[in-house]
Amino acid sequence: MTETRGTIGWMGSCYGVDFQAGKPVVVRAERTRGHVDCFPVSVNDPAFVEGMRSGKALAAGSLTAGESFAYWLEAPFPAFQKALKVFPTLLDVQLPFPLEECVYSFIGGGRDDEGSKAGTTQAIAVAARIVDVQKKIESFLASGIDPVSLDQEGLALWTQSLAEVPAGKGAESSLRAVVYLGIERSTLVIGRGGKFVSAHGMGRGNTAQIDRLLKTQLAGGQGGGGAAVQWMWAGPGAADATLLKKLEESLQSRWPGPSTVHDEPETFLARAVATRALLPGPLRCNLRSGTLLHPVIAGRAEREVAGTALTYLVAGLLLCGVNLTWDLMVKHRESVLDKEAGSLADKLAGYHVAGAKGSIRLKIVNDALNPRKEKMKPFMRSFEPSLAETIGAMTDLARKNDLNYETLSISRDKINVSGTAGNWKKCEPLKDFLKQKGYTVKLERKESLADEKVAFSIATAGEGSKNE
Amino acid sequence: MNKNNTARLLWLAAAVLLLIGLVMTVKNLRQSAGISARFSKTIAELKTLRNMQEEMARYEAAKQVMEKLSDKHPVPLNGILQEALPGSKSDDIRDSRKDAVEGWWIRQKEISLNDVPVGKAMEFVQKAESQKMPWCLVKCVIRAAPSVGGTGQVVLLMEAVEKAQ
Repeated sequence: MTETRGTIGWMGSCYGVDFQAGKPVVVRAERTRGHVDCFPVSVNDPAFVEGMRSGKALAAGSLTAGESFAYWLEAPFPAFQKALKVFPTLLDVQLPFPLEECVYSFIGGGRDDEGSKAGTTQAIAVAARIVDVQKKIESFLASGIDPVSLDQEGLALWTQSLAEVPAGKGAESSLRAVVYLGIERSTLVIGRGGKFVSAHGMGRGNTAQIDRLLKTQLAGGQGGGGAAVQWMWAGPGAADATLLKKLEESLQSRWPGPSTVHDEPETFLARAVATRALLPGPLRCNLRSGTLLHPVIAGRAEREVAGTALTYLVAGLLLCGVNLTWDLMVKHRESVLDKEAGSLADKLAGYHVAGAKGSIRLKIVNDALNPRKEKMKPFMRSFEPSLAETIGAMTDLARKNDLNYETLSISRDKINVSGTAGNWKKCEPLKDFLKQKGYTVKLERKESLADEKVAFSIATAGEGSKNE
Repeated sequence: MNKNNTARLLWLAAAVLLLIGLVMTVKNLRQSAGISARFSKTIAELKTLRNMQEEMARYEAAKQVMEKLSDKHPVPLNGILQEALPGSKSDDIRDSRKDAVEGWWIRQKEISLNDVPVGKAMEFVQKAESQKMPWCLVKCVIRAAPSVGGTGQVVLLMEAVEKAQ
């Protein structure tokens, strides 16, 4: 079953009210860590009276099963949103009065509910005539209470009964009948396992009607009872042991099963409406809607819409802000880098290198530096390895590898050497040595001479041929 | 202005801002590759400029070492030549001098030695290069004598810096 939030879920506490013979039975409900504690309150309690008068405290009530109804509908669409479009029409044909005269809502039954066929969506239509809701509000107002929420009694009794006495293990498909015994009236709620089936208003303790309704709803109207029913009792009448015994005896003969009286049955309905108003859960509804919507709920809804819009507005602002910051950061970083490169280029060139960037700026700086660099090279050469060392190493190589140099020309950037080698491979160590020194080497070897020596010449590939 | 209008205005502003934000995000994402390339290019340029600066700093440091020497004139090469190759005589000595930087000259001497042991010629070079105000071998051409191994004609181009008087 789909869970929805309570009508006044943002509140930490509220009052639950149940009218019994025109007199309000009130509980104060306080939410702590996901559960609600209820305390009976006198209708003359100063805090309650002041809370109601000032509007600082909120109250939740309900429409009886006689003033409203909850009815299962099934639409031939698998999607709830699509089914929602046809539910009003399906509901309209079931009503003896125009749908326009009603307040209504549809509570999703979920996909995995028992009895829902593939490709269909089930929902509970909760509705009441506007005139009945208005009358209910007036009766509340006459007692000095302006209810923010008017629940559907049948659903409230059902969910509260399940919350206080959950369906036991193995009882997922067993029948449960919740009977609210009021002072002047009764309500019967029928369900199977955890699933609500129907709710009916009736006269006080009318066992014949209960029997008939059970037969109609659970046995499809065929024959007598016989099915085991878990009987749950609530309401002020449930505290009347004589009445309860009489009813149990009458019903148990046809519908046998365990019978349980809910704790504090007098405040059961008040607890139910207060709990449902504060806590999220299944089958939540508020029939004080549409034109009759309480200003507190309307204001809250408006604030929520405005709050959501504000959240999107802030998100939009943040998005714009992040992008602008990013843009500024990129421009700043780019400007810092460019400024640094520009000032370094100016410093190196000795003048302001205006209007040039990248490779052009580098060329300008290089051209400006080169004359001075050329003039300063002799200072640097004193600290570089001597060419004499290279000549010495080449001479050693010649001795070890049977090489005879005829001419050797060496400078910092270029080496040319020609001569003869003992054989084809003897030149390789010299070639490797020069490569190691960082020169790009070109080796040429000629066919053997008469003395079987191989003439060779090695030239590095021109000025600046050093790889380093 | 009633509450409905306020909410409508908020939604409108939110929608506009979100749209602008999304457009800016898309624009920035599209530009990011170009920005990255521009950054890389500028960083590479900066790196090259810093390398140039470091190279110039090394040159300046080398010059500073020379500046600190008390005698800023290279020793005459003839004396060193006689020490390394007694009795030998350079067939050809060319002396040239050109301006360097800040009152310094670059002196170059080309020495041509005929029929000398190459090893001895290199000894001469090493001695010249180990002076306090050193000479440096800039270029060397050796032509081996066909008759005697290890000897030949050696042409040396030596270079030194010298402070002008």
